[in-house]
Amino acid sequence: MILSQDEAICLILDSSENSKVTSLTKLNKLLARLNLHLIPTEFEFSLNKFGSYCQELKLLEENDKFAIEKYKIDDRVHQKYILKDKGLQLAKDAEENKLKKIMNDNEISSLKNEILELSKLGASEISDNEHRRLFIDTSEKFLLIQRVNSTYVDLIDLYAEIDSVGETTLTDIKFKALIEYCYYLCKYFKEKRFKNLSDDYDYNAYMFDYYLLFALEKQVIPFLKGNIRSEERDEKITFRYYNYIIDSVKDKHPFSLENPDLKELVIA
Amino acid sequence: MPLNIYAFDDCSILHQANIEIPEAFKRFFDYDCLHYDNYKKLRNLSENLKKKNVKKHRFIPSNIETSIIKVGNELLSKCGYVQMLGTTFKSKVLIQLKDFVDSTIDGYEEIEKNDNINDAKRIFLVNERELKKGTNIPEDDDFKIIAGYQKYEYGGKKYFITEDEHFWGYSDLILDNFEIHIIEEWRCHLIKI
Repeated sequence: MILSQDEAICLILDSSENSKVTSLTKLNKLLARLNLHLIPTEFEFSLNKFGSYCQELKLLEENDKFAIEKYKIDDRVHQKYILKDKGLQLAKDAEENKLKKIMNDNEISSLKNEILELSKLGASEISDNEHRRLFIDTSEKFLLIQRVNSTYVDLIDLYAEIDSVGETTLTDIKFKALIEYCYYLCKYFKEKRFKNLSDDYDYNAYMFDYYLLFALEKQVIPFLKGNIRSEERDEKITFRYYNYIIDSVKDKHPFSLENPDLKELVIA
Repeated sequence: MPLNIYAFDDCSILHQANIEIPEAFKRFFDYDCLHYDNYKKLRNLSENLKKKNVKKHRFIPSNIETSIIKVGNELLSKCGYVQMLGTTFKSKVLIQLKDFVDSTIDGYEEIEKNDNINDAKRIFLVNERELKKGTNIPEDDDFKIIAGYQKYEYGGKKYFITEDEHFWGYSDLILDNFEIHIIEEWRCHLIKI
């Protein structure tokens, strides 16, 4: 499950105040926020000192689902994005056919509320909030390293128990694969990716480095810990985490099943 | 003259799947795709049935998830040890099998299994044979398929394509008593439609 670019934009616009977003930067930030809910999109985010940044958005053109209107403030031209009727329908279809596969009704409603509240803020405020959650700021690198270390320790414990997970259902096997994959992903973060961080912003970083680490610590590991000894595991949540961690990065991150050289990053 | 009817067991449906090896794992294989030994024969049969507008059939309720895991494990045991992320690789194979079923299942007409299996079971118990794999007597679910197929009203001949020895090990008995022609999966290319 991955949201197309139009689907992601229309979902954001539909959840935003008055079904519109008043600047490109803000749209960028709101789209990036979907990653913190483990909802993959076709957009590729890289890192700059303002956090998640998607180059492709600059090329975005109006279509039958949303309008782009230019307006001036202090001689600077801005763009606002406004949902059209077709876009509203697309947002509803995406919610029904895609989001509901990975989220329950309460989670969808909470996501929409969060987007609504964020849409009332300025882009820099949304950006600050993202920085705090992801430890992107250079001043917070020690927290980032702490996150890598504690997440890895948790995964060592989980991986030690992997053989106790049965293989009776597809959900069991996805759950077990998730433990295995997360363990090696985090080992890669600890021993390669975040091993020698520079003091400056890492402009070569993939935003998925931060999204994946955040997802592991805040959502996936608590779920794995809480369910490793369960007889029955939640199919929808297992699919959501599997989908985001294992399937969604595609060619947007080196630790990917689509990378022919992944073996070099899987540290025994 | 009515057309003959062709039913597949769940594993024989799954044996028609072509599994793409994810890019990261390709280095461990000499090929890009995994499929079962009888894959081509089954796919040809399916194509021929489609060309002649003959609907394929399957049995419900189905234990498809169990069959997916069984077929997945068989495929993996044939392809040998994968040197990294073995469970992840397995999950990718199983997910593709599940996707294959989801995308093709609408092409099959359904035949209800029949829970009334006592008569069928008795015939097998009286005529028990030594089979090479597994138990000598078919499982209850196998009897439900036989009983359901026998009950299914149809004018033409009834064929059942399967790799399960519980069926082909008793093919003459099944034909004589239930008028069902058992076709071993690896001989399905010999069927003349």
